[in-house]
Amino acid sequence: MKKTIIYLVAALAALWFSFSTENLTQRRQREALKDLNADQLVEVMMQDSLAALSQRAVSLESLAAGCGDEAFARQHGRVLGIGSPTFYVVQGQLDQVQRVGDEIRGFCGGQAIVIPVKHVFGNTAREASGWFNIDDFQNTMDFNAVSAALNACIAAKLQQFSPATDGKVNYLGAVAVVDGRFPADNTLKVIAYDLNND
Amino acid sequence: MACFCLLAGGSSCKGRTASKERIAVVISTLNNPWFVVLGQSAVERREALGYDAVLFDSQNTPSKEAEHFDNILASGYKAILLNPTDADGSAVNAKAAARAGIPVFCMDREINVPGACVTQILSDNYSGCISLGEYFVEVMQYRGNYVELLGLVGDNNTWARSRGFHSVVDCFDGLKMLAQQNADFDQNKAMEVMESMMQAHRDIDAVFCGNDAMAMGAYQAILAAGKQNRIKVFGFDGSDDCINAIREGKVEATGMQFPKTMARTAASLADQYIKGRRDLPKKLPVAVDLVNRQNVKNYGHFGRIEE
Repeated sequence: MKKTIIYLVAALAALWFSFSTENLTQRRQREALKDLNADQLVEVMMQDSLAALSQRAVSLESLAAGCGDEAFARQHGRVLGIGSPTFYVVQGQLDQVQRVGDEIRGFCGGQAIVIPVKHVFGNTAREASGWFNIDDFQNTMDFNAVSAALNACIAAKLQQFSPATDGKVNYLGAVAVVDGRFPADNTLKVIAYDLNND
Repeated sequence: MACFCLLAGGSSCKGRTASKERIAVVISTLNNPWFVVLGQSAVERREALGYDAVLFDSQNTPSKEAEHFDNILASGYKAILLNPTDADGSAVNAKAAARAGIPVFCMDREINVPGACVTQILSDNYSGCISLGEYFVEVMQYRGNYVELLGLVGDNNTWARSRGFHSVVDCFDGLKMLAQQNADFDQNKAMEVMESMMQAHRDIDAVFCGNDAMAMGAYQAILAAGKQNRIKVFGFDGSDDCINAIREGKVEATGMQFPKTMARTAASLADQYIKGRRDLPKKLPVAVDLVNRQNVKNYGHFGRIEE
């Protein structure tokens, strides 16, 4: 009887694993993580996961209204460890867009926005995306290598971008909010995952 | 009454309260005030939580750290708060403790073997040095020659800081690194290295140092050479002497790590673990603040003034 139960459990386990599949993105992500290939990992996520990122993006108006609220921050924001800014994915349309040197400048709902397209620094893009968990990496150097690769990928993608002649550009990007304060009186820096003229 | 004991060479702790459970706090070196604050903060929080805390000094030597671990594993400690000497070398000690069922919590310095520690509480050195790099570029006005003093080559913090800094500074063609050399986070060594760098390169405009002890050593060398008005010094740590040097205009900026926050968090997590909590994060970064002449009034005593 005991043996029968063991065989039954083993059979059920085998059956479970035969049907338990991971999607292609998860599989490619796992392979890139195994022997860390930061560029590959970033490429996978930028190809496969931008649409999902767009689904959970907030507008600048709602961010400005809610970022000081803990419940809003918990629902929409991401925090890395202790004392970090809260990172959000944002999207919207810019108007009066101009390319000024290595930056795209414009306004969204009256808020001045600057988007770097050449020098993209920091962990804002990585952290807002939520694509990467620090605990999945061998050490923090590997985790930071992903951030550098993501920034480089973004810069490579955006450097050739030219705003449409009507001065309107759609953006999907990331922002860092420090101490729950939206910088209403200053220009807000957005790290853009994507810009388009559609 | 809990006691505070320092074990530098494996001597025994006298007067320990027998009824309390013991926690070991193993610090890479107590030759640097920053690490003294880290160790003392961990001990104080442990004692506030009702444990006896015993402080061990590894003297920046992996073999000394291994000796301490041998003693700790044989002496019935309930947990170890570890500030490792080496990202790879210390992993052996942490794994031995894990095998013996003693949870290890890393503070400030990382070890490279996932699973050897329950949680690693680490400064976000990379992000901190990105902020420092951005400020460096601003102060240098996008051009000039600089040198870099690295910390211990076996410590991940050394490379996280250097890479964060270079991820920004290397984007600007007008900024040229003339030399890069390790000074092991040591003030005296930094002074010697800076002296030879100044002899080899007459046109240094700035030095980026991977910690404040090296920044202070570099500043001593610069002062002795009479170049304090030309060479700008940048550090990292937030030690009191460097904060004072920023106030006095001797150093441009540093990255404030929060050793008290790291130590207190490690102690609290160890307490929670001992009491049965198992869903702790493997890594817990602690944000680093840029401290410069504009905001230095808000900082001191190894943290923000209000801390």
